[in-house]
Amino acid sequence: MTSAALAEIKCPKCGAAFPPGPPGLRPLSGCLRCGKLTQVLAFPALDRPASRGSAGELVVTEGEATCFYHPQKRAHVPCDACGRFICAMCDLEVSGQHLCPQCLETGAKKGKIKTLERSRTRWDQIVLSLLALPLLIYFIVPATSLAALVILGWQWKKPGSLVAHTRWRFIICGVIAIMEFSTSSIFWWMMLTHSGMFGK
Amino acid sequence: MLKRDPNYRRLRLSSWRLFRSVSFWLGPDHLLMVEVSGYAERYRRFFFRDIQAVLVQQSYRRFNINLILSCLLGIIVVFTLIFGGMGGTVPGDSASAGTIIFWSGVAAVLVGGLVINNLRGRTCIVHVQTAVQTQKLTNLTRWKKADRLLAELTPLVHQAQAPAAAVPVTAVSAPDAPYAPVPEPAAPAAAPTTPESEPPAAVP
Repeated sequence: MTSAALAEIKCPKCGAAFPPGPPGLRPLSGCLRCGKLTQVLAFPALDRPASRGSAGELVVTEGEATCFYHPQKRAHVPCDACGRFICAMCDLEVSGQHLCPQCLETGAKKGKIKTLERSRTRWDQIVLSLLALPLLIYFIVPATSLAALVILGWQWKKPGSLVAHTRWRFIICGVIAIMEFSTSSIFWWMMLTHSGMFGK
Repeated sequence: MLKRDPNYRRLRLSSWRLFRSVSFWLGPDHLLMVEVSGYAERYRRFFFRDIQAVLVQQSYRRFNINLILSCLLGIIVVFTLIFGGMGGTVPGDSASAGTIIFWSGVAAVLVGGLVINNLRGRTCIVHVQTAVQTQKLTNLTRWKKADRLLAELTPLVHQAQAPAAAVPVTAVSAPDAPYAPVPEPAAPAAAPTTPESEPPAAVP
């Protein structure tokens, strides 16, 4: 771990640095360049030197545990997910867990590491739109309600929204989709049979 | 869901815009900003140990809203007074009275907007600075709400950063003195060894 230059607080508008000061709430003052009134609340992390990652120690004696990815480097910790020994360079600490790069990548892709998750698709909103919007164009309702049911089945077990009741919305949407599909199908069936397209 | 998660607490700072809503949650070691726009939900996590500063900057949003609403109100009042309502032709006629009532209603809505805009207080833009980025907190545009956020955030950030701030930078971590001896703290005789302190076992 090596020390680096201390951070400075910059004006978000013009990028000019504010004069350094102790941690805490500073009085309301204007930016030196753009004059924008700004209240700065500084924390001790500002004065903490930025730490640089370690490159890992080389193996000195024979028989020492080595990194799975770098056989010439000394093992630092085992990966909390796969158990492989990893060196200080491969050690990635996420939410208190020590992970190797491969487990981190896999966990991020599969959404297993919650803190790495950056977005989710709101399938409940998509289904709701599929059910509500086509009501204006009534002849495509059987197709859209069927599509809504397919999405409901496909996304039922997937993790839903963090802030909305996805499962309840899915249930309500499912009921509406079944109703829409059945009524529109009956409507089309009657239209087609009465028009004489299928004969008598 | 975060509402059912005992580790998370919702901050009363949420706000709504057209097609977009933002909510803030306090987690065990981070502040979570959830932005819902259209068919996607985006998350931003600010770990307490990483937050270097919070900047609350004055904005002219309140002034701009006041200006727009006042202009609209002025136009309506002028037209109503001069022409007896936008749809009316002869003052005193029933159609003219109806249009005056209609435009008075519109004017009342605008006045209501003006009052609410001023009661909500000064406007601002809030940024959170960490070592790697300065992120704007979307939709947090009122100074009162920013103050509430700072009041909630400050003790937690100080608590998270206090141990790290108290640890002195040892000589071994400085690049110019790589071989300086590390002063060992006086440990108790029967101190239990943690798994992290044990040397890694040999790979079979």
